[in-house]
Amino acid sequence: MRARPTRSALHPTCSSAIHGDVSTDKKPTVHPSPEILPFLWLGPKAAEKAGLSRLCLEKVLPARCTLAEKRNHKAALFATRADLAAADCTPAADARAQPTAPAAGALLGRVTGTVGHSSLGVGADHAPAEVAGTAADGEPVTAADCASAPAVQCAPAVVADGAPIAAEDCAPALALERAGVAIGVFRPALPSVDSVIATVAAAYGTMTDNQRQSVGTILRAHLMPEKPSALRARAGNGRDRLYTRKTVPHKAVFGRRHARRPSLEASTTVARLCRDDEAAVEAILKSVCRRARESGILAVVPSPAITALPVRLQTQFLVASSISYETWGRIRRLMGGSLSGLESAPAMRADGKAAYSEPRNRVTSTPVGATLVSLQAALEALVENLVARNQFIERPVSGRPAGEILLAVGWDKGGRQSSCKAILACSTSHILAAETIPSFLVYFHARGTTKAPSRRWRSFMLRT
Amino acid sequence: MAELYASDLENLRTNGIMVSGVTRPVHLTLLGDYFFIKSFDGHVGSSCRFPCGYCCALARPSAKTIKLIPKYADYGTLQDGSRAARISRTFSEKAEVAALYADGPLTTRSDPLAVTVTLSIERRPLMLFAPEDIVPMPLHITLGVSPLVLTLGLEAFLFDAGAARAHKYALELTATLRLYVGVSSARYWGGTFEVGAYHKIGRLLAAVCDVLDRYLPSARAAAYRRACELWADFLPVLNRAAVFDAPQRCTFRRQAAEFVDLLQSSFEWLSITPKLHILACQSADWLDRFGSLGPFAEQGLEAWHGYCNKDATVFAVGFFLESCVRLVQRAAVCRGPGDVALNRGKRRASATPNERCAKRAGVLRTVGARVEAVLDTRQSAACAVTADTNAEKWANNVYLAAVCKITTYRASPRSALGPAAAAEAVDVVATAKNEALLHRAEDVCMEVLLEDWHNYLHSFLVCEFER
Repeated sequence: MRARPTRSALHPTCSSAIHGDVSTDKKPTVHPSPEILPFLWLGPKAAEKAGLSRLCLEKVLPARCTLAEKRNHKAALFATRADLAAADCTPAADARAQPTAPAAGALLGRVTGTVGHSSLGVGADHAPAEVAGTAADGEPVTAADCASAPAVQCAPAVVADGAPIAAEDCAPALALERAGVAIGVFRPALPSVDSVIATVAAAYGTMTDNQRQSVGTILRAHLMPEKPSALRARAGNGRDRLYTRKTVPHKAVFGRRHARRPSLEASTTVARLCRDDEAAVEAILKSVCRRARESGILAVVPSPAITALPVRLQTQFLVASSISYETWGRIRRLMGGSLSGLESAPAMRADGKAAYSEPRNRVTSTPVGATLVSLQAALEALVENLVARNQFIERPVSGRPAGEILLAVGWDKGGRQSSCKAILACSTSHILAAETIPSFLVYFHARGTTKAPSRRWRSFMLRT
Repeated sequence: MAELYASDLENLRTNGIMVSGVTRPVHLTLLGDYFFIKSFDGHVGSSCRFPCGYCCALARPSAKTIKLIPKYADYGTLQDGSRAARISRTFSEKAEVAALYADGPLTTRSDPLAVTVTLSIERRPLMLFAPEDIVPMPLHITLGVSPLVLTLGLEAFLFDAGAARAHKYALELTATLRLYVGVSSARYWGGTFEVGAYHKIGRLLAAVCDVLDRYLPSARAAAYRRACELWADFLPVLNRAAVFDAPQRCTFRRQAAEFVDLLQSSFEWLSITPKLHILACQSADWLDRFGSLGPFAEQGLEAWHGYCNKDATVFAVGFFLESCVRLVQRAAVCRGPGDVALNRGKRRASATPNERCAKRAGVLRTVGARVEAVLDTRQSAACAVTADTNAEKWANNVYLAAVCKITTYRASPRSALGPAAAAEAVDVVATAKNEALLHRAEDVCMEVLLEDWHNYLHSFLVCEFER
């Protein structure tokens, strides 16, 4: 699942076997201690390295060293527990398990646990010859390399939450798939947590309940250092919890190596979402992202909804939001220019001029204030608009003719710069606007027509 | 100013408008506050003999009025409560009065017309509106009656128990409003509350009644509680933009009449204002005709002030008139701040009345519960100090206004006690003013003493240091 990283041009990467398990790309600076050599190198190389003094050993990355020490500690811990568990087993069970399951600490191979992801072809759910799957270095391993592969095949699997699955209920491959764990490579002469798991699994049929519970504990402890993408645990109160790994970037910009996991996740998600026309969507996204990257703008997928917006509505939005044409142009450029579906600033300016010169919107001024030129045109346009939006509710009023439009003439003074506003409101009638706020359309300003406050009101203001 | 549009509006009303190829008639109504309605109608205002624009009810008849209108009892007065609207104004009467002004103002006439002819219309109406086409200003009724309901308890306390503890009651009323209702008076509103706060107060008037019960356990307190209950009941009908069914409209009519009658009968110093009169006698008719009062409130009209304030920088140009032109242009093109075509954002869904209010006393969203639980009130120290100052000023203002009102009433012929009560009330006012002066003098003395002591200490320390 995880490939070996490419070598850095600046620093040589360390050549340990677990280099692919940690994600750093630094200079190897640490001489490993002798007890972690089996975790760093495999087979003859480990034996060769064991004969050297510490300072003569090849330097490895600090992170590699830390992980190897962690695995060594876990192996020592669970080897002790496995010994205790094996001591509780019956002699018959020992006799049955012995040919295929050697004692802890004397097993031949190290089991490389990899997180199951069937789509990527890990061999847990394959035929017995392929059960061993892939090694950590990516080389395919055959069944001949795995001394205990038959034991693994026949052993009843255990799910990560500790719930046992009986051997007769399911095939081993299926059980491993459910467990989400693929037993990978067995190598000789490497003590490992996984070997302990194999031992216990072989003796599974004769275990007591407590021992069965310990299998789950051991398996979970094994999965912890291996960083699985999902971990299922059942708490003491019976709650079943599923933990999944989520890759969350802590930086805005990160390197190719760090981007690998999110890109894999993203591609999987997109593939799942776009089953029918994945190629077309991919092409659009690639094009948009390329253009956005090249021009340093927001990546916006052109939407039919934006393209279908009429120019007049965009003009109304611009006016209502108090956006200048210059700002509008910048917004449009940020959203991808002509591909965004928004009209250009010159086009908007022209449409704005046209809108202002329409009879319903034309304004004139007198020494008293500003007024609409044609009240009737404005009102007709307003009512047409309301009818087009289906916002009229006909309500009969007793004593009035049907189909009448109710208008309210209002006048008020206020505002930070005190001014009077006359408003014609088509609020409600036999024709009742769906909006509770009336749609005002006529309005003018005047200076100096302020209203004196009442005596009581004024006295309050003076005292306050 | 409004005359500019009068001809256009008249044209609209006469000819209608063309909608989808069909001519539709236009029904014009008059919307606004009392001042605007009176101005448009050519009416003098609330201080004239016929202050109501809907009916011919007289104001409180003075001796001069009685002399001018011998049959004044036929007209009735505003003080009759819900029985005041005996003779309605009609469109034809208004048209006749308007015709009298065709040749100029009435002051130029050699034979001045009687007040029963002009019905207090003393200017040429800009447009003629039938009385039933004038919106009964629900917003301004709310703004006018709500403070009256609040201060009525204080006036009752002053009237029954004297001025000794009234100021304390005013302070406690303010604290109740701040802690248990969650409103505070804002200075920019002239020391009173804004309309949203009055809705909140209307929902929680029971807390105000509880304060009065602690001070005044009497029949008047019970009447005050009943009045508060009625006001809280029909306040939503007055302001909600919903269509009410027939039973709710009947309930509103009954409750509004009962409210005004109760005030009239239980609080004898209270005068029925034109707004109370419209509430009791006119608003229910409008509600029956159109099914709702809320859509005809002036809230949408007021929203334009906020629109102008928000975009003041956009409209800023060299001349004020030019900025007006720009504003009207933009308003015409974009159609208004509430246009749904331009506003597709998330909106607050309408809720049933009182749904979002705290249902229990100990809800920690309320300020009172947070104070009792010794929790932070989410208010900075500076804001708390300002709110304290505003609240104290509001309490003082309300207290002084109530004292003046009760004093005026006791001095008036309406009071049963007459001059003796007036003298007593003058004493009360004088005592209150003297006490205020004494407090002020005490504060000044303390400041002077402290300063003197500080100077002495400073000079002493300087001398010791030099030695």
